[in-house]
Amino acid sequence: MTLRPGEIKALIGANGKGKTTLLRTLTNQIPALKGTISIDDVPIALMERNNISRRIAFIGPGFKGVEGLCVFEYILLGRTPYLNQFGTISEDDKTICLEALRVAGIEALKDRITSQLSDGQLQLASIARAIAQNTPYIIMDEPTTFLDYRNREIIFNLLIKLSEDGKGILFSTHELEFVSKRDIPVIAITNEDQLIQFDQCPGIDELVNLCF
Amino acid sequence: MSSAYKRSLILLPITLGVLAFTHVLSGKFDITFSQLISSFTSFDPDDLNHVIIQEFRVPRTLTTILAGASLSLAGMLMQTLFQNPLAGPYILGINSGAAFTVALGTLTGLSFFQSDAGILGSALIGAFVFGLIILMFSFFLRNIVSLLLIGIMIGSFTSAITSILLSISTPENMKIFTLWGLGSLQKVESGQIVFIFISFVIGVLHLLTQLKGINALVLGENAASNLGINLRSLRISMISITALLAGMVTAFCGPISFVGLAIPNLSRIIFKTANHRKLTYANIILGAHFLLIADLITIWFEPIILIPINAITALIGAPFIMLIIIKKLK
Repeated sequence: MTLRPGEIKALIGANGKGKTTLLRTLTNQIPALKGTISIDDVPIALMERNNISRRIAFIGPGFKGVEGLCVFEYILLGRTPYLNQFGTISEDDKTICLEALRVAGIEALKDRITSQLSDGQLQLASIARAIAQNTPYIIMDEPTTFLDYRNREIIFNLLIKLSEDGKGILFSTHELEFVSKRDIPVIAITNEDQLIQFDQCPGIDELVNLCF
Repeated sequence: MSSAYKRSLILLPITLGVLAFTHVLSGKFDITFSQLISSFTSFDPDDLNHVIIQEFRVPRTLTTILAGASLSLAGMLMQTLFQNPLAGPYILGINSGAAFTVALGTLTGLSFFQSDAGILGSALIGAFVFGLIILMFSFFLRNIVSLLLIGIMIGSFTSAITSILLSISTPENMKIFTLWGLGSLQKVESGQIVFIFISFVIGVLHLLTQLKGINALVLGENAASNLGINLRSLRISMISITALLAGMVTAFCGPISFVGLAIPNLSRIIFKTANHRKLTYANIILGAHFLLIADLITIWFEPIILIPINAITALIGAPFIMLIIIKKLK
C-alpha cells in the first residue's frame, strides 16, 4: 500500500485484525514482521529515529492530557524533532505552533491545562501538535473514538482540509458512515486477512460484509 | 503565568539569600554579620567565631542548599521517568544500598567504619553500587514499570538483609547506624563540600543536555519515541543523574527523606508547567529553600531538644504541602 502527500485514507478492519499493529509498524514503533516500509523510497528501518519523526507524525489513541501541561506547551512538544539537546525553543518554533493552533481552530485553548480538556478539545490539540511537527505525513489511531457527533465532524473536516493542504493522512476508524459520506478512500483489512485498497469508498454494506 | 515565572527568577534567589544568611548566623554562638564578613576577608585562626563560621556554619549552610537542590532534582527526574508523582530519589533503592553498606561496615567492628569518614566511604560505595545495579537492569528491561518494580524489590531485599545485620550487631553499632539513618547536615567538612558541589554541577549540566527528551517524556514513552527521542539513552541518563545526586547527598548526610518527594510536586503546582527547564530551576531553588527552613527549625530547637532533620522535613513539610495541594487543587 502507498500513501502520497495530499491523500487521505481510512484504515478499516474488525477489532483484533491488526489495525493498530499496522499503524505502529508504519511509524517504526515495532519492527515489521515482513516486507519493507519506505518513506520517499528510503526504508524506514535504515532511517534515524529523529528523521522519521520529521517525516511522520503519529497520534495514538487515548491521550488524556497531562497535569500542568498547557495546550501551547503540548503543541510545542511537536517541535521536539527540530530542537537541540537542550530543548531550546526559538521564536520560529513559537510562530509555527501559533499557526498550528489557528489551523486546528483552538486559539482560545492556548493556555488551558491539557488534563482539564474534553476529549474533543484534546484531539484537536493533538492534531495541532502533529501540525506543528511539520511532517508530510500524519498517522492516527482512531482519532474520533469517544467523540460526540459534532466533534467527529470537526475532526473529519480538519483531516480532509489538511490533506487538501498537501499532507498525506492515514487514520484507522470504525466510522463507516462518515468515511462513506465523505467518500474517503479506504484500506480494508478483510475477514480473510487480506489488505484491499479502494480508491473510492465502497458502500457501507460491502465494507461490513468484507471486514466484519 | 509567564510573568509570574519571571518574577520568581528575581524574587526567589533573594529570599534564598536571606534564608542562607539567617541560617549561617543562627546557632548556639551568636555571630554578627560583620564577623561573618571578616571571617572571609581577614580570617583569624585564633578567633573562635571565625573558626565556627568557617568550619561549621558555612559548610552546614552550603550542604543544606546543595542537598535540598540535589534531592529535589533527583525526585523530579524519577517522577518524570516513571510518570508517577509518588516516586522520589530513593524509589530505586539507592538509600537501601547505602544503608546496607553502612550497616555492614559498622558490623565489622573496625573502628574505621564507625568513624565519620568510614561511614561516608561505605555509604558512597553502597549508593553507587546499587545505582549501577539498577542501571544494568535498565539496559535490558524494556518496560519502565518492570524497572520500577525491580528497584523496589532490590530495595526491600537489601533492607531485609540490613535488618538482619542490625539484629546481630552490638547496641553501640546499632546506635551509629540509627544516627546515620536520621540524617544530618552538620557532618560535612568544609573540604568535602567540593564533592557535593561538583556532583551537583555535573548532574545539572548533564540534565540540561537531556531537557528535550525529558520534556517529551511527559507524554509517555511511546509518544516521546515518536517525537524522535532515544528512550534507552534518555533513561540511562536520568538514572545516572539521580544516582549521582541522591547518592552523593545520602553518603554525606544520610538518607534525607521527604524533600525529594514533596518539592517536585510543589514545583509543578506552584509553577503550573511541565516544562523541565523551568522545573529544574524551580526544584533547585525551592528544594534549597525547604531544607534551609527545615534545618533552621532544628537549629532553633537545639537548646531545648535535638530534632533529627528527617523528623522536621516531614513534620513541617507534610502539613504545608497538604495545605498547598488543598488550596491549589480545590
